[in-house]
Amino acid sequence: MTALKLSDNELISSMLVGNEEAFAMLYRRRQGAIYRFALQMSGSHALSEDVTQEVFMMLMRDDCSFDAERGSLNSFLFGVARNLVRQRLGREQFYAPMDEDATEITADPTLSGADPLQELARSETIESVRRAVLSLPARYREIVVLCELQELSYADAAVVLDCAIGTVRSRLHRGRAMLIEKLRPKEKELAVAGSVDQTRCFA
Amino acid sequence: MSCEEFQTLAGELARTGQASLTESVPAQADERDSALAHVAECSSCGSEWEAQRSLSGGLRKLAEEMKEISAPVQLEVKLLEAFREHNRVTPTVRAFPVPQRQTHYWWAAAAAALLIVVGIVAVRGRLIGNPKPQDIAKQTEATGERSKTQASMIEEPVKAIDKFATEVASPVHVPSRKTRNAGATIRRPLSAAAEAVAVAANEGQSYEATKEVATDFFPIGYATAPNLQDGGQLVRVELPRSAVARFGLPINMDRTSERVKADVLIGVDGLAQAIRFVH
Repeated sequence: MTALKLSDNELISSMLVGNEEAFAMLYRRRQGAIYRFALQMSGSHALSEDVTQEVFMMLMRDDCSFDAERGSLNSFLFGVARNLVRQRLGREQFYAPMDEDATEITADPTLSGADPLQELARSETIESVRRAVLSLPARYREIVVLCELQELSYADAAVVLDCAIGTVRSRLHRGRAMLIEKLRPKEKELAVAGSVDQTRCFA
Repeated sequence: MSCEEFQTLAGELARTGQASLTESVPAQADERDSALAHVAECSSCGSEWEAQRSLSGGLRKLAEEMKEISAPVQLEVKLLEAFREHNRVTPTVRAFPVPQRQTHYWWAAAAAALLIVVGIVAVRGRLIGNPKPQDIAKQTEATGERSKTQASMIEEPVKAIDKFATEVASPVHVPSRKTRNAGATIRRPLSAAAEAVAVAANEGQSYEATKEVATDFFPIGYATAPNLQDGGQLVRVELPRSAVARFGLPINMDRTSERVKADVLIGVDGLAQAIRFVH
């Protein structure tokens, strides 16, 4: 109960003297965001698992370079995860992903109680956005993931990416513009398909 | 608001919800109002605004969809195991790193100090252990085994050996380490030679034996000039006359079969340092 109230820095201090409970608490608090970030960046569960593991292994090592004065633990962990993801993606860019490694993060529309057609449309939207994000160049993808999906502030994102806030702002602007361009043809196709169906109905 | 200004703000405005804008920052609320007014007038900016809003909505849905995703449970188990392992090993390294090293240093320092002390004592002991000629003479008197004549015979060789030692010291340029006492520089070879002479006297040998002519000391091998102050022993030996030639001295070829006397200076390390030939 008391561990829940402790800050990240207090947990880190406790963890460094060998408190396993503090490490477990820290892991449970931060692992989700790190794992999701890696997944949104790579689209691979296996890579995300590896990256999450390496991030927390690094945290428990003696040579961990976390400095509370330079930024929050969250930003630090995101920074480490970002570097690891980029390393892994750079290494694995020549490998074609296997089918089982392809992510299916959309929910099954038949399982929810809502209108299946609406759910299907929602799932399609989410999937198209996910694919669009994954197709962005890494420097824009990471800023979109951090600011839009992880909801980090510009300042925190600047710490993670080790750049100026103005750079974050301009990259995000550019990243969003690219996403709109990628999603636009889809909208056009859907519009065309819709009109064809209508004609058939009237006929 | 111009289209250019709107394009710059559109993404930002679409990201932040309407409520937050109007409630939090009045300046941003004003911007939003003017942006919306522009959208109503400009159709191209209107479509851009819709695209931005639709993108923000899609991203929000994706974020919501993924909110429940987390790392597999077995990863936590693995990491906790690694944490335990890490902390099992590390304390043994962290616990006594400095004290162990300090202990080693202290042992080494103590051993070194002990060696130095033993070395000094050994050198001092050697120096003290070699009797002076006067002491030998007194000792001889004390024994009463020798007559007064013999004692006087010993005194005289001692004087002769003093002269010898001066001869020995000068050609090899003995470095005077103990400058405060010049006599100390010749004490060591003197004592060695005097001892030899005293032994000879005890054995009843002729006093005339001290009336010898000796050459300078020649260094043997690659040894540097012999330092008599370092101690050592003079050993009288007999060599073939041809050995004289090896040190560049002239010899009589008709008497090569004869033997010559020589004093070999043996250093404290037991090695021959120098030689002189005696006639």
